Amino acid sequence: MAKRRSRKARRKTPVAPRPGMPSPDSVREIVTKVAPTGMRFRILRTTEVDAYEKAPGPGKGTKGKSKARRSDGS
Amino acid sequence: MPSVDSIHEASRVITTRGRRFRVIRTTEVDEYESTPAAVSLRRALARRAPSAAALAAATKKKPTGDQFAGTSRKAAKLSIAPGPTTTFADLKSLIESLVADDKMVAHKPKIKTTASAGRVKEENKNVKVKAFLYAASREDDNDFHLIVGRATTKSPEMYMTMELSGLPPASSPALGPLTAARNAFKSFFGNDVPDFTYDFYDPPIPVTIAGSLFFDMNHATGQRPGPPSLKSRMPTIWEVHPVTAITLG
Repeated sequence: MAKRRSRKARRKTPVAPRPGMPSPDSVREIVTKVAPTGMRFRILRTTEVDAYEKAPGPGKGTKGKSKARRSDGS
Repeated sequence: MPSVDSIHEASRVITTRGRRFRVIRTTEVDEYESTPAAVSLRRALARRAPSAAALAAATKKKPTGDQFAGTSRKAAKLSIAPGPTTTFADLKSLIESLVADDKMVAHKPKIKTTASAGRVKEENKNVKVKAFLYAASREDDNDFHLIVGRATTKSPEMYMTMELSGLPPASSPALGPLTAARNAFKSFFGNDVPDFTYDFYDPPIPVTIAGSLFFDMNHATGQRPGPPSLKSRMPTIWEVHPVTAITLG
């Protein structure tokens, strides 16, 4: 006969995060949105950017001006 | 599994009673942990500054209007492929139908990244797919990057970039469909259209997307596009670009 797990034991089972979520460290704001279609969802605003996005370069007139590539989308 | 960002070592394998386990060492601690090591680690992580690129993105000036503001392969990005439309029920089958990235990189004639570089033969195709929108951002060329993936229940996880292009000049025959697609996206999100950093959606938003195939030669070397949290499951730099029709929700 199969053993039934107690409610307590079930509660302790860790829930794996669903695929496609951002790294928790990158989330800076969460808002709930209801779309015109009635769909309710959360928007997780993150600090994630495409890795080729340029970092801020040195200010005008700075010696050794960086030649950071312009991020021209894709 | 732990957050990928928290792993600092994953090379240790232990064998016990004939079973092998990998030990994944992370920086994760219980919130209530009060040992000196845990407290100092928590402080260090809390003080960690956002990446320079994220800071730059947050302070960037928003593009005004909806016009395309880039140059790389402008002719291709603002045109609709003349070929027929193939419909795919799953993003995986769409990705599997694409010519391999390394073959496209070695394409003859070479795919140029100049503004006047138009579509090559392999890009003269249109596709339509039912999938899910997981994340989106706005680029400084005024394109919206959409990170589109399979249903959360499907394995393996797989994502692809699809782009709502900035708008072409009024004389372009693509203006009508591109404007309609962009407006559909903007009216779905209202005041919450994404900015320069990625927004993620929970649950992912069901989408039906149609558009032309485009090989992102600009990123054939160096860093590939995509948010760091999903990039490892983006197997190609092929894109749907421009998106010519989109239905969300």
